[in-house]
Amino acid sequence: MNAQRWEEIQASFDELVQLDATERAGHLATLAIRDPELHRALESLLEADAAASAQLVPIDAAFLPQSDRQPDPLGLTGRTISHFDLREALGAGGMGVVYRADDTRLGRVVALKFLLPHYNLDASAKARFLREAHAAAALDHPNLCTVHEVGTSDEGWLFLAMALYQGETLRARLTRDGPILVREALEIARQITEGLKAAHAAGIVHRDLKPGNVMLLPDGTVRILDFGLAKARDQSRSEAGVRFGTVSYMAPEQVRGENVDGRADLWALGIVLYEMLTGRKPFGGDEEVAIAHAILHDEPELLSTHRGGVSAALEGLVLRLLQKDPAKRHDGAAELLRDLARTRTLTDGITGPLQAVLATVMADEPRPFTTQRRHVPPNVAAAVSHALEKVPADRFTSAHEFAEVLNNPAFTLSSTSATAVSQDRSTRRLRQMLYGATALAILLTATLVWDWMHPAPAKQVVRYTLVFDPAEAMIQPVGYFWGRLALSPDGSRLAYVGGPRAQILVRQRNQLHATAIPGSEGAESPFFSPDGQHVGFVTGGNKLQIASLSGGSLITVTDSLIGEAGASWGRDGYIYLDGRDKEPLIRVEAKAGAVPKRFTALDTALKELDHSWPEVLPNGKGILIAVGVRDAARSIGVVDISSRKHRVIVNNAVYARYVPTGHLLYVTTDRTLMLVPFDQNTMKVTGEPTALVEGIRLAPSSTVDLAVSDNGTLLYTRGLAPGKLELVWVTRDGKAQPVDSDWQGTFGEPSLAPDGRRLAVSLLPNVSYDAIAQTSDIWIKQLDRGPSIKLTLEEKSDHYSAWTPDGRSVTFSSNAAGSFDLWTKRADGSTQAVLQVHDKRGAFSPRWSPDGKWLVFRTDRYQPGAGDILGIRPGIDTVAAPLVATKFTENAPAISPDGRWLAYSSNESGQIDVYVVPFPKTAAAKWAVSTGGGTEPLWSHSGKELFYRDVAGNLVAVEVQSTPTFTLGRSTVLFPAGAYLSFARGAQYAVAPGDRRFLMIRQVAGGTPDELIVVDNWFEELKAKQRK
Amino acid sequence: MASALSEVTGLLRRWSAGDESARDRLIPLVYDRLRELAHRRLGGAPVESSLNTTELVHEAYIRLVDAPRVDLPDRAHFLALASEIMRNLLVDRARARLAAKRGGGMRPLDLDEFDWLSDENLEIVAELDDALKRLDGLSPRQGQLLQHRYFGGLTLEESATAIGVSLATAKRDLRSARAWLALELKGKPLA
Repeated sequence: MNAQRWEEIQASFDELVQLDATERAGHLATLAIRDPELHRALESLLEADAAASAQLVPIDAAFLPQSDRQPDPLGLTGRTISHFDLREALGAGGMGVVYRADDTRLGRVVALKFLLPHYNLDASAKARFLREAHAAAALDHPNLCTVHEVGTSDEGWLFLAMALYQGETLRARLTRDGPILVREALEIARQITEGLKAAHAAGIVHRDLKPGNVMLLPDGTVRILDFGLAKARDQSRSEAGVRFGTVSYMAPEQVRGENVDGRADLWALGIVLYEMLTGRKPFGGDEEVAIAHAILHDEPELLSTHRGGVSAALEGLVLRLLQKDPAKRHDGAAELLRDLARTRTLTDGITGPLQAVLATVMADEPRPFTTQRRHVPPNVAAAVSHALEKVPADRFTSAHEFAEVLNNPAFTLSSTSATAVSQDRSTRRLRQMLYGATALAILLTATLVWDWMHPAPAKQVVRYTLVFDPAEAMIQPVGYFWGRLALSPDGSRLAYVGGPRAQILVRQRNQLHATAIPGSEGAESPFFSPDGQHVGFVTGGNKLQIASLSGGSLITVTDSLIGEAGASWGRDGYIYLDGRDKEPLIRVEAKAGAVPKRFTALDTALKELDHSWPEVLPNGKGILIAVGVRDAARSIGVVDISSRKHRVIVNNAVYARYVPTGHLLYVTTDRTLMLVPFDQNTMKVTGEPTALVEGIRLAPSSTVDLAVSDNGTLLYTRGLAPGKLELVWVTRDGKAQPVDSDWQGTFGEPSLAPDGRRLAVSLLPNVSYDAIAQTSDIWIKQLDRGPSIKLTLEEKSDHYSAWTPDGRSVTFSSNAAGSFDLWTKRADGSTQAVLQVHDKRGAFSPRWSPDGKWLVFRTDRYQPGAGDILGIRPGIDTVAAPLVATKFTENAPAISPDGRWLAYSSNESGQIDVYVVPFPKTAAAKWAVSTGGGTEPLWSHSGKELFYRDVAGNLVAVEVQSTPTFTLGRSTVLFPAGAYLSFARGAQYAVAPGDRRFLMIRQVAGGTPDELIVVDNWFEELKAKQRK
Repeated sequence: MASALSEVTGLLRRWSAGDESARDRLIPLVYDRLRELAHRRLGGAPVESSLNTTELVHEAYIRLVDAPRVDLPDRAHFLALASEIMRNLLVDRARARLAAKRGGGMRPLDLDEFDWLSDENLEIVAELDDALKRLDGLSPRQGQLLQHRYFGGLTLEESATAIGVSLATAKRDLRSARAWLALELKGKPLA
């Protein structure tokens, strides 16, 4: 075939595809006689075209390898349709499939909804749909979902580009929580009605209002989805005779297939309101036919049949909405709004039969209530007993809990040391009730407890200090630490690091005790999933794990984390983490075996050093970060997720969290908690900052304890920063004594000379926590007399010192020449440092063999394939040989005094444990020294003991025998060493000659203990502030 | 970063305005960026994962072009160029690996340290490339159109703009070209 022939074929093809089937058949028949060859070609082309059009997606997709993130019913992920790049399927429903998509033209993220092809609209129906959808898209109202655009793709798919909301549907909320509080239900109904009012005014009827179409946003806004779409569905249904969706919310006139107006939406709202209040639909049935029959013929049961505390006004309002005759319902949304407002006023405070009782009781307030009992009118008493029968027992998780509530009316107070609740008027009423009307008291208590356990709409701002059981106390980290608490998005759970084994503990707000997550020993930096059902954390500095709060085994996302910790889990399914030491943000998919990758880029022109403490904004567009800058104070930045670019928005600040009221909460370098208006959509600060609290606790890694839940609970800690460290001698029975109480600073990795009279230790220069220390030095201290000298002089990072066996020199790790190499220098500083080992993977934790022939060290665990222990014979070898090199991370090598054994730590079993192998023939045998977790092994000088730290932080001594072969003996816990600095990558202590005492590092005593402060309903305070 | 952005944006505009030398200067920039992005995307990814070429081309666009400053023709030109480069990158690798697998004389040079395509996709990509070359012989316009679609994920509108035809023509071209391609790949080409 040549180009000319193809052109001919194409011309005929183009003509034929325009024709309908009959006409086409006619043309083809003629052609079969006139030009059989052309006919054959066209037949196969048309066949291929039909196949391609039918499965247009598969054919195109065959060349576009898909990522298999979500089930993708239309196979559109990764494709570009119009100016939208489709990212992932968010869900599928009766109406269509929704994708998250990037609007490449306007650079925003949208929800792209495709109508399912089986609606099969003909041209005129399509036009009607488009008209309707365009009209709906033109509506701009805070309670309606914003529709950006309606369009048709190249392939003829109808689609809507809508704003992508973070939040949950009312359906999800009801499924999770069951019935909701009257006040909240009325507020949701009010907002829905506002939305309906605007749409009805424009002549648009929803026709499919139901909890699944109502979005609840974290800031309390309610938005109605899918306006104007149901018409297309109904039209196609009438043609195909198929019923889509649920009949449960349909008005009688809709069930009968009559024309409907806005009053059908009011009916649907009545059903929704009924369901919010009682947890059930008024017209039930197993099958659609049964439901439809009930809608047409049955009267709904009263709300009060299923729920106590319903006012007569509310009962009347719902009954009116559920009138079979549209004319008897409210005359439009405007009238309903007025009715809702009236009902709300009547409902404020305690509702229903109780309200009447209270009115009676309160009128007699001055007199002691005990004597008033006989004045309770009989009808009121009956109402009380009636109400009592109706208290749904399932509001309490168990009968036992209910009984506990009854026995302990102060339950809510004792569980949290709340103080301000006592100011609540209801509580004062409660106290009065308790004297006489026990029945009333029970009901009131139940109501109060109910409010406490469902904290969302309670409006009283309550401040209190959270007290922990000593066995579940939050850990008090020494030195660097990457975060110790997190609050679930709904504010119902606190996850923190604590207990004797430094586990992740999860405490529900309505419980006094926390539950430990098994396998989370030594964890740092807990964070919640967006749905609050999972907690993630980091163990061993390189393993990112996820635990489901409903149980089950831990999921390991990655065990080669290139980040540290300080993590945030976005609704996009990714976890964003602090990059390690001097790295940008890291991103990893929240699934087993995911691969962490760098996400942001450090702006080296601005001397940026790190991006840390990420928090993904609720709208998924941006991430708040803290930015470390060389020689300057830290600042708060925001990263645009789509472009991965970031910019600084607040200077002189160390840590920020987003507040769903549209604010940014941040802690300044001088430890003040500040609040500033912030628009998460434009990612800009939009107002002036105000100071809230001074003296926030600031940890050395510039982290603070600060969390805000979506419903307004604020958590923070005050207290002095855990600051300076000091060197101490600790005896085998745990008695500690400072080495030199005048010498304080940020010490690390102490190493004692063979004579025990000199100490080499790394020390960070005195800088405040808000600036990152760029350098650290090795200092030599004469322990028995006199001054200390600074051994390293370059403005570089010098760490991990080890004495040469002759005690004359110190070998240390330094980046003086760019990479971390091992250098050796005379301990009196009399010579220049000499480069000992260069390894491109970095060299740390040096140790000399006693004969001085071998120098062992470890490589940098962050480098691919590194985290290994290597050895070199200076003067003999040119390249270091691997001693223990696995895919796991090996750390902290230590050679026994007889030079025949090598101890080290490895995470090969899933946790870090201490192992011993023969040296230098390391592959010949292996002994596990610790089995329940252990780090930082060091040999005793006698060679008869091996010391290490267990996961609980104890210093453990294990008896060992090294001749003729290696055997492990008894192991003894010497003393709890949790208060002393520890670091899995290298020993943070040294053993003195004689093995009677240890040189350790601890925090300087003094300062105030930190206290965890909780503010419930803090948003109310913010609103009050704004009103002023 | 900022300079690369404005450099590419500037070159793109000059090229759109008819300066073909600007295109020659763009190629290495786009080539390098696509390779880098592919590296980053694949670094450490499981063996069975393959590149999503559409995503890659669009990511290159976002990173290289200052989007608010360019209009549809500029974007279309960029994406078209990127899809061509993407095709070359992908096809070169597929062919080299196929050759290596068959033990042919060709050494899998410059294969980077990881594979861009899973094994089962190698043949498909090579076949697609062959078919598109044949289509180029029949109708260069349609060859380009399919290349844009499969290697760059351009929209029809972008593709039409890049080729310089009306949207209706592009739509018509696409339909017959797709049917033609389907027959080629099924091994039942038009006589």
